[in-house]
Amino acid sequence: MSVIRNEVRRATYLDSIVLMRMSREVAALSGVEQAGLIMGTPANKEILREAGILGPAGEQAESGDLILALRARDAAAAEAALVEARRLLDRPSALGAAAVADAPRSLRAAFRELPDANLALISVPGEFAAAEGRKALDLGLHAMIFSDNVPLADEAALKREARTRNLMVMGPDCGTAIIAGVPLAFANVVPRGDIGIIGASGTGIQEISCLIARAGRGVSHAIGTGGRDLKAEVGAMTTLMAIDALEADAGTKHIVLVSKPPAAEVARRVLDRIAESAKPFTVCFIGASNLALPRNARAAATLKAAAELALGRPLADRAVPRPLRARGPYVRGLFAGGTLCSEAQVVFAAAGIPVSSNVPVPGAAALNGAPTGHALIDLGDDEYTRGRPHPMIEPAVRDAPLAAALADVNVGVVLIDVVLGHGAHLDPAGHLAQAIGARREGALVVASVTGTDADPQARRDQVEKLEAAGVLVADSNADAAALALAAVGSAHARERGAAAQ
Amino acid sequence: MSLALDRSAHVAVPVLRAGVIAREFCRRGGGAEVAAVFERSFYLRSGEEFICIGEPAIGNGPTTLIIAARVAELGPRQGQRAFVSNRRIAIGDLTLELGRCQTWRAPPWPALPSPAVLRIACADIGRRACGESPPDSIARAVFTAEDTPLAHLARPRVACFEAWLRGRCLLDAPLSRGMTGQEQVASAVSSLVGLGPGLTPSGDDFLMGALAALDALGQTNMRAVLAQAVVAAAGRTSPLSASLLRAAGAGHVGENLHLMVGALAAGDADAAIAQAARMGHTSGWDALTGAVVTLSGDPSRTTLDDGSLAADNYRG
Repeated sequence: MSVIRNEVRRATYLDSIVLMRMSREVAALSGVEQAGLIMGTPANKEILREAGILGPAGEQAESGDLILALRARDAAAAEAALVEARRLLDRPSALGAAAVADAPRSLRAAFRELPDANLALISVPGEFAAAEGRKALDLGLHAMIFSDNVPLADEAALKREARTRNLMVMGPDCGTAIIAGVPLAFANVVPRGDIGIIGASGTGIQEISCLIARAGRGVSHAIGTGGRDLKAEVGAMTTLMAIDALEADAGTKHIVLVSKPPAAEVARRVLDRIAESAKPFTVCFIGASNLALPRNARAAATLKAAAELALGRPLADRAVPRPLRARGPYVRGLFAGGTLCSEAQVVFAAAGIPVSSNVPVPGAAALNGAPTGHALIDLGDDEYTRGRPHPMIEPAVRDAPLAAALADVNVGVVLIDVVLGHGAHLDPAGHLAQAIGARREGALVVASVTGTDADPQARRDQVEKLEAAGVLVADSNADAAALALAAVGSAHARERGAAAQ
Repeated sequence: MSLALDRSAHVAVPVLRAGVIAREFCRRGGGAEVAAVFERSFYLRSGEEFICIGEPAIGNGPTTLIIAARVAELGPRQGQRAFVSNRRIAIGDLTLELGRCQTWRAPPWPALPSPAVLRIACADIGRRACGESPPDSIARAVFTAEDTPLAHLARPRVACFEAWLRGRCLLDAPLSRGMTGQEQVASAVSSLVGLGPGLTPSGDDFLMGALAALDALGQTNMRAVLAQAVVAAAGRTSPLSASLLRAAGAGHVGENLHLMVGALAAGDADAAIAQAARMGHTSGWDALTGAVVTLSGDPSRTTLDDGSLAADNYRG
């Protein structure tokens, strides 16, 4: 017989998103039939009363109190759920207290605590990041600046200063690096190996390093440069220093460079530096064409191609499990990774298929207003993430556009990326599977999963969850884009035929 | 290595911007308490008043102080005592310096487009709410037929509120039967205040959106009546949300809400939805729903309440 339990926390204020997450977590616990976590206002007590989960304790709550109300299948399940709910409710304050007790308040204090450190990871509001970067340089530390919104002039000045001290500034807006096997910020657990990566793109580094790892090889270092390092104003200062560093590193045999297409004069400078190197390079300027490369470098159009050139062999493609026939003529891509979105556009462009995007690569159209036709959207772009978590951290950011795409009869395939690793959500596939639900018809969902089995989320488990939800999982993001195109091919032809009549 | 020296060191952080209510809170001075701590902001409470202290990314607001530091590094703790003066706020070994802070005020509302453009924008948002609004938002209660406990309670209350807006009693809305306009709005408002999930319950956000929309429309009389009802009912919600309702009643809303309602009032549904999606979990869509419900009627009719503003505010 069902059991109702209420717990009231006096004068407790939690952030709305935290409340929503906790509410979902409690509702998903074994044996819990219904749960709610809301402020104890008279109107909310009506909601709980109407839902049949308001007990005597909840009735006594006041407007500033937080009510946890749940109905479970039996007393044991209710008690277990309450224990877990209490743990969740205690966690924010416990974490806060720990942070206050343990965290040094300045770089200098942190350096005193860890005097052997040689790198500072800086994540502060953009307007203060350059100042913190200078403090790191003053302490003789390389800097990885995670913060974005740093003025371009500050970035250039900081990098000039670093170069005079023979220190490297990764970033600003550097989301991914792997230094000597240590993943920093958003990075995956990949084995050490002899392939070095230099990237102005976080998810670009992640996809390439994971494809290399899943092919049985490893990464010596992956050095993030920040998205604007190859702009004319910055002049590739970090990229050039990273080439120097990897060239001097005996453990690095092959170097992959991945970025958006750079400014022409900067590209020349970088390619001239590559030409001086004794090591082989793979250059992946996503969306660029007609690159005149030196003899020791080869161009890769996609991240997958970059991994293959670095590995020296093609990656195996998994067979498609069944003949694909999409109901609608268009692909709607909903990406968490900006470079993964760019790579998919390159795949479309290579197939001669017009595509639009909010982050268009050369040859793609800019997306204005509601998506129509083939549209590939980077949900991690500033316009979607200002004041909100990034979709790699909070997969619910993708829920609304996903629901809209699934409901759109013109959409034959929804193309998504799932990015795993440190910093990313702990179960993005589980969330997606729930959002997609048990559907028997409608748009196909095609996904790629950037990650490894050694990641905290274990790629194998994430793929299983997606496949159980009917999602087609490709081996790489490029393969997923190609699969999506193949699936809508026949529907697209039908649509064009109908339009021609 | 011990960190004792660093922990005892005094940390002074400049306040960059202060909303008008937050500035007044500091001018009054006195004791306060850290009432809540979030990732990028924390709240001070003194009596019934709350002010938010946060990083630039949270956006300006009437009850907000924007500081030049990361909250996580300052480490405020719930329950800590604070001493507030016109020049600084002291919390343990942390001092927030107010000497150079600028006062933030919301900019003027944009000129309104033609009623037809406004209606199209509102209808567009209503359609898109079905797929894009959070499932537990009040938008689902208003724009869809979904039957959740929140929707079941919210729907007739919003209908009663709409009936008041349109200047007539909705005979089939049980709560409005036989009431005068002022009774009707007081009843609808008091039943919406404190309703729904979130730190600021959905009904509160809905009403803040409605107040901002009436302000954008130049409907000073209706706004004043609604504000009176909202302030009178503020005791029915959490004390923190009540302080925001009182600020909205006094004509002050936060920058994010102002941008969203401003986009809607300019007829730009895409921008309004994008802004809504950035605000909390359901707060943005809840407030947008309140604004859409308020703006989606015939604006030329609603301006009868304050006809002199119609010519000034409408273009086309």
